[in-house]
Amino acid sequence: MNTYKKILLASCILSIVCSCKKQFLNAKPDNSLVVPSALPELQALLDNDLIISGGYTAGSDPHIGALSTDDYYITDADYLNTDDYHRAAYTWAKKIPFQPGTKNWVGPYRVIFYANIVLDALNKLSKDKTDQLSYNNIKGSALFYRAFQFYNLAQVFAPQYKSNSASSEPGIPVRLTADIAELTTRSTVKETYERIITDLNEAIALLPNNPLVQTRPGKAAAFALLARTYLTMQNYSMASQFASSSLELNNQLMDYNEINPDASETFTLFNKEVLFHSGISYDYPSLIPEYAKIDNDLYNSYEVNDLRKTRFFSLQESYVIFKGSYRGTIIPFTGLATDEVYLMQAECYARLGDHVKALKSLNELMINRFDKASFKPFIANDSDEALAIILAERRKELVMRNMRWTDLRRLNLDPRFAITLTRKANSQTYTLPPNDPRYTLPIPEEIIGLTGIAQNQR
Amino acid sequence: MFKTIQTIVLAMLCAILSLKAQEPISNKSSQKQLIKGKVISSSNSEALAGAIIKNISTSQSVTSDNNGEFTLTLPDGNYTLSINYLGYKPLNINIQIPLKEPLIIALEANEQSLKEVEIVSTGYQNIPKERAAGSFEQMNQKLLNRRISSNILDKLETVASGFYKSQVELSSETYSIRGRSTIFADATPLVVLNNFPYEGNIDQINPNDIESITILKDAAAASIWGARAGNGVIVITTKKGTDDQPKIQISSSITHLGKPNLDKFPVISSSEFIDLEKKLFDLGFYQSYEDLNNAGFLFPPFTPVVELLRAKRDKTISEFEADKQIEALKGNNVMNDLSQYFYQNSVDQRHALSLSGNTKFINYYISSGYDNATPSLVGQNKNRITMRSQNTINVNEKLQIETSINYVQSTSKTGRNAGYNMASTNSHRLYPYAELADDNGNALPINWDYTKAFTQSAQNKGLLNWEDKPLEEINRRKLTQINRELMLNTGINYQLFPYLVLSLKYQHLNATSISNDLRNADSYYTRNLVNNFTQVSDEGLTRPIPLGNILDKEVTETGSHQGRTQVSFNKSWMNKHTLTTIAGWEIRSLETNGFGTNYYGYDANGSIVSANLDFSNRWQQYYFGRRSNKKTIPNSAFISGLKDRYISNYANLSYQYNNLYTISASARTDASNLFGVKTNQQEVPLWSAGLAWQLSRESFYKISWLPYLNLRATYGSQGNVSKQASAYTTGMYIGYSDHTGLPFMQIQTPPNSTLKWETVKQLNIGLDFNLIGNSVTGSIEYYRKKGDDLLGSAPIDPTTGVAINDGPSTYFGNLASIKGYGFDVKLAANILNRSFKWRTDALYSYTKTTVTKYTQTNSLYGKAYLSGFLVNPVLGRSVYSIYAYPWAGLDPLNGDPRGYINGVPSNDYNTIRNETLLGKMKHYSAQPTSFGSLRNTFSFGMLELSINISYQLGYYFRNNSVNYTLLANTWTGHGDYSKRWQKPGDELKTNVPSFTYPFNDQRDTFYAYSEALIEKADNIRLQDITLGYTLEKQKNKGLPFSKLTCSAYITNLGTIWTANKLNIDPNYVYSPQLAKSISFGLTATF
Repeated sequence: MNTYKKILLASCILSIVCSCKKQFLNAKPDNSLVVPSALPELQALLDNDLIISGGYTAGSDPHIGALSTDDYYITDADYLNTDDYHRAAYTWAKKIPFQPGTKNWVGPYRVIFYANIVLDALNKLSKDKTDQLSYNNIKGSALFYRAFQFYNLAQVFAPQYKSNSASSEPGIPVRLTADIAELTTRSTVKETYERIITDLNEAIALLPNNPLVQTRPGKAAAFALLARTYLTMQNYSMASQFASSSLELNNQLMDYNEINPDASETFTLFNKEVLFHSGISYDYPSLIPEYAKIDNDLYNSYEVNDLRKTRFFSLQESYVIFKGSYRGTIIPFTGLATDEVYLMQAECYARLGDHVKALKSLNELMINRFDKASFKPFIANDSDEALAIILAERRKELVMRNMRWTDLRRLNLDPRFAITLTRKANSQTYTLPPNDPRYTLPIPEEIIGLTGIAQNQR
Repeated sequence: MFKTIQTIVLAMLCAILSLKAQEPISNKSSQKQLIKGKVISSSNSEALAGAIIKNISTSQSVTSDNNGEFTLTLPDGNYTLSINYLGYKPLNINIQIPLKEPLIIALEANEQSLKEVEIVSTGYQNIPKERAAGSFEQMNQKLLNRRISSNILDKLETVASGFYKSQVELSSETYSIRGRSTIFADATPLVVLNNFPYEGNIDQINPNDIESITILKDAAAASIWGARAGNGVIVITTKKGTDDQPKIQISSSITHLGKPNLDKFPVISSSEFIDLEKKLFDLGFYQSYEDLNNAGFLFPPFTPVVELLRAKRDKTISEFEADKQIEALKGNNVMNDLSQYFYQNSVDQRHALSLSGNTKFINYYISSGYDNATPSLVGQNKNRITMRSQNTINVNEKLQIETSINYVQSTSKTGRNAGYNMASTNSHRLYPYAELADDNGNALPINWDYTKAFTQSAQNKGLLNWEDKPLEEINRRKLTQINRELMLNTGINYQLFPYLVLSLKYQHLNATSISNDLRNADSYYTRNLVNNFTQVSDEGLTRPIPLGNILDKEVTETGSHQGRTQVSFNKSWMNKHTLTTIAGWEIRSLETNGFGTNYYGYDANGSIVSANLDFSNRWQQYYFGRRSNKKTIPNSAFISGLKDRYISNYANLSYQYNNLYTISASARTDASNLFGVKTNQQEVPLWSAGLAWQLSRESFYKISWLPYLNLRATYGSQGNVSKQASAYTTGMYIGYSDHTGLPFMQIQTPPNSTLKWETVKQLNIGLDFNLIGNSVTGSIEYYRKKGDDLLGSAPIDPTTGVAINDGPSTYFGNLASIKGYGFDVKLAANILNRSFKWRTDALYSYTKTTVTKYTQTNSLYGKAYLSGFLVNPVLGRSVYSIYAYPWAGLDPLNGDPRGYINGVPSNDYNTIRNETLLGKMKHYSAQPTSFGSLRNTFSFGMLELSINISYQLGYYFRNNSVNYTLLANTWTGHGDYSKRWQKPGDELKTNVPSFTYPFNDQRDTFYAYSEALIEKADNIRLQDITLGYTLEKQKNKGLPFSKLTCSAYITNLGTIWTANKLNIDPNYVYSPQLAKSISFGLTATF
């Protein structure tokens, strides 16, 4: 074999090497890794209910608002035993020592990250080659999830929406891409709410009327969230319009007369009132029934023939506990349900001056809440009277639904409904007057430290 | 793909075989003869590579190769050869061509010279150290045998310059070479066994088979290993046959390690804890737990003292009786029970047998080893069997075939015994007065998951016995880990021309790791699980989890193929020039597949497994009482698969002129299957260049007191990569939702389009010298390192939403640049060299690495830098730092710990904790900046004593102390409780805060992370002592063996000096001090 042949052989080998190199090096380093890009993969990301809407035990919605409300109280023994974070939240302290990676912030922003990943990936798909129905559902869902969490964040970390100051007060960071290099900045309250409305409007055009499962949103849920958003902004005509749109698609109610009051948890998962299933970010132990005892005045405000008294609560030796979560577990339900939509519709009619329609909406709901035999429909002579009745029933219906904090913030703007919260803990009294700056929670210092965004002044 | 590799290998083989048919060119000359010779050491017949053979009459000179062989082309006649080899006496011999007998030249060792000629192996080639410009650290047999251990890395500790092995238990970083180059990519050095990177577990290598270990420290040395060499390379070379005569070696050793010193571990005493419990009871601390128990919802447990206090209050027991029982409990000490029943004296045995020989045709080495260890926790056992057969066959003068087979099987068994670290399912710890056994050694129950009342009532309802008796439980769990590893190696070296060798090498590794976690039917784990899933209804009990053993099984299979073709060129000419080059191509593929599943109702004797388990339904958990809390039956089934692939090209060149100057250079490209990275970015070029100058050989060199002086300098680029990162967004299917039944996916990594390889550039300048009479030798090396695009995991703004788990959000990517420099100094001196010999070896290393660039935003607040698990680089500071809140002392009024707010002492812990700026934090180096050892070896005749003192300087540790919140809630805590502030004036003698109630976790955390608990870690310790005695047949004719070595080795001798006033050994801050370890070893050679 001469040199010539050697060179020939060497070049043969070399060419084999080079041709297989690309294929060899393109092997996936981990079999289980997927680059989510096709529709079923994007749908699977949004169906991650452990993160998006809460698995069996926990959800992603901020819980610090719920911790701060008068829905519940805790005993001195529990107060002394709990950690500084819970004590601070319970007593509306100016500074809240959030745990690192607090779910109040990470929970919603992780959902927003998932939604943004899906939206970014959808942009790269060529529309004509895809299943249009799935495409629309996925895009609509992602927009809905994002809007829902922007809304949730705005209820605790941004001040209450007031039309005269919304464009000057700082809102929440509104992240619209999954790009982690994008710097975090605070939008204004106005921009925050505008984004929620834009996303929801776009979602409504894409979503199916009612979804396959209640962890996915449908049009009815999106309309309900839009109504809730406008209600929070005190735009009652828009809120009324979208509440009605939602009820047109789904107005089912459970008749509490048919619900067994003896079960340790009254309701079941995905019951027919649930428009969109979501859960509070589980925060042991403060919102667990045996710890979070129900305010006695609240419990006593229910009429004897009000079935909610026995379906929502269980009377223990010396205290009352809540057992009426629409999740079917001890974790509070924080999604959207038709009962809330009825109440929104009723409130909006009353605020817009139509007390007849208002009470009609309210009674449609209440007939399912009271003992059928003894129920007397609510009556009012004018819209102010109707509004007071509706708000009282709203208080009783949406207990432990993560709605109380939002309601306190918006109702306090009206001197007629403003209240001062008072708490006693370890023989000290704490109060929270209406419109106090502490109604906006501080942004966790961890976030301030890493981003330098402005802190809320309390 | 594997097929392709096969094809290539086959093609290459064909090429070799066809080449073999060719006639050697050099033989064509009729006048000149090709003569072959070999240079060996007269004392042990070992081949001497790199000896210079000079023909005096023609001035032609050649160098012996790795096997000590050399060739000369000479016409017939008489010649004088002069043979030179460092460390040996120069020799002149006369030869006559044609040769009448094989030319074997035996050199006599130069007794004067301490410096042995070291052949360093880079894994690709062997080179005499004096001709290498790079930085190598060589461990020979003697040094490796010094320490008796079954682990190779132990043997490098404190004897290898620049090598640092962290001695702190639970430390994330175990060993490093020249400090840390990477931040969070794999920071461990690459281990090369013989010629290939070793993919198995380093514990699996039998140290008895090791001939030498070379640590490649600088870029020139390591860059030949390419991308994975960024953290340095440890090259392990196994033994080969040395003598014509078969050599049999038998060695045995035994190590005895006492029980750890639990009594010296600082925990709160029984009487203090009982007094504290009484106080807390009066304060109403246990009320909320009682409320829960009363509400029939969860059943948090109480310690015996609290149960007695409750009974006393509820009048179910007389006051007198309760107090008497409580007083009696004060006499208990759980550490005694633990030490007596849960710990044992640990005994390790190691036995090895080898047979080796080196004939003209074959060099063989066959060995087997057996190790058996009984670790100090009762219920544990480990053993390892190794077998190795390594042969080199010289088919003819040109063709050499190498093969080796290595098989290792190791088994380890563990029971349920975490020793002093024992915790319950809900993380309660053993209270200080817990009794684990009665006076007769019978196991006693501990109620630490639920109250006794709860478990009793459950049993009354027909549930299984719910008692946890830790002593009985030790053997009710059997966790067996079996690792089997088969490694096949084959290689062909073919001498195409006298100066050109072609080699092909292939290695296959097949490893299986099986983990069987068997929980007996009567184990607490099984009973607890079965009970909690038991459904109670009016019709009776149903058990979704059947009674019987539970077996969790995991199997991991690893297969790797590595192939290499290499051409080596080695030529000397005109007596002045030597050129050595290698060039090659390499391919590597590693696949790891894992499977796991669990079996319920498993019968260990038969093969019965309960089928029909309902994994999909949710079952009410019994311990939740009347509240609904449902869970699915634990199911650990999984399948995983990982692939790691590399293709590399490399070349290495070394040119030596006149034995004075050496220039070396290397280049390499590595390509890997980085996920989502375009193929053209998958590749990284790496290179190095070096220069060595043997100054003392220059004619003008006249410094008589410095007879040997060698200067070296290298510069080069190394790399590192991590498969953790990906350029794309990646997700992973998790399973089917419990709620909706729909499949769902989780994001694993956020998109990272700028992902690239990290590079480490290193400059190394070295100076090797011998002092007068060659009695002192040494080297000084200075290096600078610069790392760019270092991969790491750093905290990221949680607003990005990238957190996979709860807790601080982190991001993995190219994060930072670092800069480092350091020295390695090595000195050896023969202080006395008569019949009594005294030799001193000193090592000193200094290393400092600072961050020069950081791409992520640093948090403004100091709080973000406290976690010990995250690297949180700060510009201009060392990569590993400890941060602490400034300490303003205890408040003289109430013993509150105080920090500073705006320079004023304060106890507003919330503000101090959350708002202290980074700039205000104290910071300390967490890794030693200086470390080294001083080893004195005394020998008299065949008796040798070696004492090793090691030191680590310039670093700090965070001390442990009392945390009142944890103390009350987990039932045990630090012994500093007794030093707490109790009355004004105490602040002058203690830093331990006063006890307060209600608990304030911010106060506890502030104290834990305050400057008050930072201590200097600098220490000097008596590392070990070894005593050896050797008997040789040469001197004692009647012996049945040629050599017998006996040795004793003692370690864990503690510190001689610590910088902190508390006299705390920084290696044992979080775990009890290890007892002395004593080993005896015996090696006989026949």
